[in-house]
Amino acid sequence: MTTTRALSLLGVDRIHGAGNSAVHALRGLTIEVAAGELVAVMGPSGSGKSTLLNLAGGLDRATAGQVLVDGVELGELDAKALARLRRHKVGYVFQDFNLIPSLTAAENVALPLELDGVRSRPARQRALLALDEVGLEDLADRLPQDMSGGQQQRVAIARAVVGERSLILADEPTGALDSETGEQVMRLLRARCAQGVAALLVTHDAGHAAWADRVVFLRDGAALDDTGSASGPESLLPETAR
Amino acid sequence: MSPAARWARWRPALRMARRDVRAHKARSTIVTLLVALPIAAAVTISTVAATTSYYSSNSLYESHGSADVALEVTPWPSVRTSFEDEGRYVLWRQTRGLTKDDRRRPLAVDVTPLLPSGSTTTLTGYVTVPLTTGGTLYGQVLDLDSDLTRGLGGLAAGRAPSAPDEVAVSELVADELGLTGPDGSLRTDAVLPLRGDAGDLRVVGLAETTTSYDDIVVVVPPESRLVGTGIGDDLRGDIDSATYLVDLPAMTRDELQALESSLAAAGVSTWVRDAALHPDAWDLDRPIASPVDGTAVAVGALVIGLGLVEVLVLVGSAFAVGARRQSRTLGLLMSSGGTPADVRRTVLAQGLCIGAIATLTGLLLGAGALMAGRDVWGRVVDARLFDYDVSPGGVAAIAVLGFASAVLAAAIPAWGVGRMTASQALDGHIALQQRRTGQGPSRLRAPALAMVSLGLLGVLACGFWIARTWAGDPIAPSSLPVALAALFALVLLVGTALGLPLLVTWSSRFTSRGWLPWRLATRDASRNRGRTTAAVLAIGIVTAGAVFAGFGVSAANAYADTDGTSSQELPPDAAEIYLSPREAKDPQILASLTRTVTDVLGADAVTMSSAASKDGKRVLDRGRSQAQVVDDAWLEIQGVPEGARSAFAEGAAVVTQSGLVRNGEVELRTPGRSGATLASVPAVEVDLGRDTLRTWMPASTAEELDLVLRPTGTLLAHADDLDQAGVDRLSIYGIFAQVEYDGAPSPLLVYAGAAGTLALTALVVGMIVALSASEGRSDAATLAAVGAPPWTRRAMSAAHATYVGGLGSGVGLLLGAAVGATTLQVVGTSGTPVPWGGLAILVVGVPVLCAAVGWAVTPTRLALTRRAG
Repeated sequence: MTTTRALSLLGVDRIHGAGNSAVHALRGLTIEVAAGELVAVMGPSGSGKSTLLNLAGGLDRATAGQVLVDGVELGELDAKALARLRRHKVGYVFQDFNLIPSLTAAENVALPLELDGVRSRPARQRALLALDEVGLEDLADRLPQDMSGGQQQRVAIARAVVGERSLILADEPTGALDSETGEQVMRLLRARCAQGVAALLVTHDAGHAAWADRVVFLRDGAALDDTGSASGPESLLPETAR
Repeated sequence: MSPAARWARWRPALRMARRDVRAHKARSTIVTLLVALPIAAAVTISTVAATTSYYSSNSLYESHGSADVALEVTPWPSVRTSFEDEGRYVLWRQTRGLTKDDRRRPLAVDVTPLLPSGSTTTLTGYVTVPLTTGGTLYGQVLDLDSDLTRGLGGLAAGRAPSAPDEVAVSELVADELGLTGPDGSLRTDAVLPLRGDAGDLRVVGLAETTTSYDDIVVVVPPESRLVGTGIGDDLRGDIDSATYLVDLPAMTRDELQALESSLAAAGVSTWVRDAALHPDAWDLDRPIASPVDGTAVAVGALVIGLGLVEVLVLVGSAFAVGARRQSRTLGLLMSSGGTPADVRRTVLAQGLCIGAIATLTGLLLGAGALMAGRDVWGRVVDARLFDYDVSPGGVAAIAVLGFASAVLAAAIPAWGVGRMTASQALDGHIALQQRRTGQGPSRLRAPALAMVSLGLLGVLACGFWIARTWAGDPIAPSSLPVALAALFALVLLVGTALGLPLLVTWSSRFTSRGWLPWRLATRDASRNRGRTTAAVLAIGIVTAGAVFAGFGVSAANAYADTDGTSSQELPPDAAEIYLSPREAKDPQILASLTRTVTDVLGADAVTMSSAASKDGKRVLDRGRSQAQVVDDAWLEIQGVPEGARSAFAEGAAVVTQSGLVRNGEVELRTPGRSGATLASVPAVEVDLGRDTLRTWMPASTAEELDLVLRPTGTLLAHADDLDQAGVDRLSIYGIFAQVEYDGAPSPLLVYAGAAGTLALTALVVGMIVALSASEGRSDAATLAAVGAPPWTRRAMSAAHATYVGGLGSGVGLLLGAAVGATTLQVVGTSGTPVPWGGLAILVVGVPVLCAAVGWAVTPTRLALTRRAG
């Protein structure tokens, strides 16, 4: 495994509000994710998991500490630069309502490219390649409403990786799926990591967390525990599936 | 970034907007119509206005039918002509050196040899039609079978009159004179009886009105025996000139100009359609442009400004609904690398998309309304519409303004969503973000209060200024104070808009107590100040319009009741009837006329005055009014008191001007410096409370003074509840009368205004309820989950609508009353009458209507499973 850091959160604090109504979402959190590494984040509700993802992707700003993506300190970037960073380096996968309902699968995947000024045709071609990688090229022209939940998540993963992004941030990507479809999504994420992409996965499901190289436990905004390398997801699969 | 790359960033936004329009058909349709309907209305109104304007091509049909040229054969063998007013009419003067002996009879001139071969002509003009009713109608000489008379007249039923004893009349005339059967069709034996030797005319057709609807129309053919016989004493076709409409073969402009010159040399003045349509090509002088009416421009700008604000508020609210429902999509866009500009573009693209569709729809609707409603618009403006005059520049300006209003309406929520962060958008917290990033409404307190104060003071000050200006020069007052008043009114409007969030916050502190639905609704309104402000402003503007109209109606009534009395001459329930001097001398005509007036109006008295003279000189009182001889019926109709009438019966004169009766006598004299005092006769002075300054004496006194009496031609009739409708009916019998104008505006206008107010208010309320429902679904679901009865949701909507309606009507009252009270100074009303009744109805009615609409449009059922959405 390479030691290049795709994501680093160093002593990060995030406080919402001020005065008596201030809420400490994260307290001095430090997490590092290497390229090709899949890190799962677990913890109860309100522990700061989603805040962690928002900070990692530059959707929110830390109150204190540093957030670095591929060595770039996000706190020093303005809104435009953060948006550019998300287009080029960071991909998101949410639990549900992942896709823009008025765009087809291919258009959803091509969205970051088009927002980057890429013309429609080349953007679509690259989107089709990404869809092919998740096995959905045939559904390229379908609207989200005409796809199953699992298919939508796979399209979301294709969108998260299109354009050579190096970091996938996934917030309960299997939460709204049945176990079999959830397994497919996890397998896909794992495969992308094998190609060198780093992934930070927030999940409640210990079974899905077992796909990760490491698991970080959060409580009250602080990391309680950080496991070492797991025995590998293959150990969780039925014998016949290995 | 290259232009291509910039454009590429618009593509996803436009794509999403296009598909969102298709996906949310109901919402898109409503928003599209909100923008399209004003565009359609503006296109329709501007086109109809241009078409009915004096310089339109359509108006030429009213004056000259479809003729290429119109010839006026003058009594002179040669004339000099000049086109006037951009070729609208032609002036002629006889050539120098001609004398009266050179004059000829125009009807005897044959114009055919003067025209190119292949020309078609038809005689036109007017004749008088003396009826046995004692009245006289004007008849148009028209060949209704000729294409040349298109625009001058038409047939609704029957056939065109062609024989000398035939005539066609309008349906109005036929119905009133009993010429139609029970089924409304023309009777086969229908005749128009003429008095004297003229005999009867057979009515063979129902003529459509010529230049307008609901006209009194009588059409005789060029061959009519009324033409050229001098039956009517003002028969222009016989005495002054003869007019022909002409259809020419194809001619060049040079040939037309040569023809015009040759006809002038033959004593024929020629109007040319081509010159009127293309005055520049004929080198015609442009008339001096009339100065721009600053008052009209200022008031128009205010009305258009208020209308635009209304559209912006309504459409902006609709886009705000869309943006809120789209917040998750916007969050996904940002998480995919979209910048705030991309987010703004996404919402703005909806404005572009809806704006384009709405503009196109509006233009099509306008065109459709013009084509399909030609007859309806014609009736509205009381004119025939043959060719629409469309101003491409005007239509383009309307389209641009409409499109811009949609884009601007979308820009408001676009600006708001562009300020939120991705995580907030993903959580659907647009409103929350707006509150956190701003300093709240308090930062607008000072400018809002300053603008409201400045606006109010300015408007009121301008009101006094306007009143003084109009009192000083009622004919041509300065429009500067009106323009300034309009400006201050706009300042007041902007200040009110800025201060509304403050008002919402402030008022919710006092209203967020009591009944649960009310408590929830008012707190929700306060929490979503932006949405509430927009709704309050929308209702406020509508209510302001209604209040302003109410002040207008009130002022018009007051003007008629009080100020109008200064120029009132006629007593109530009385009509003055006018006769020509010849008719006034004819006892038969007088008898027929009296009979007709009695029958038609149900008059209980009809009487005429006579003017007194001595030795060929008028007999005057010291107020220089000619003394009149009347009877007791005249005095009774005039409202002269019983005591004065008794004195009149004893031979005393009745004098209505104060100061003329001295020592119980009035002095009568003849005019001029050398005018001699004839006599002093016993007199009584009466105050009629009107502007009638007369000295009336009985016939016996006039006889004693040996005065000569001549009928004035003015009859006075009295009937119970006599009004304009009765006078209009009398005119169908050829009898022209006048009653005192009551000055009150048509109730139809008031009802239409009230209906418009209610409809717009209902629309605004429907939208705010939709907005509230889109954001309050989870609250409603929570209420349902804890066991609240199903009507709770409706009650919340009704309470919310009532709260907004109450605030809106209050704001409207402030704006409408201030502007109304000011602008009404223009009509010269002393003081400002307050329409308390109407205002009370609005203050109570608008919130009640809001509550009813809020209750009615809210469904009670809500699936709890939808809460997550």
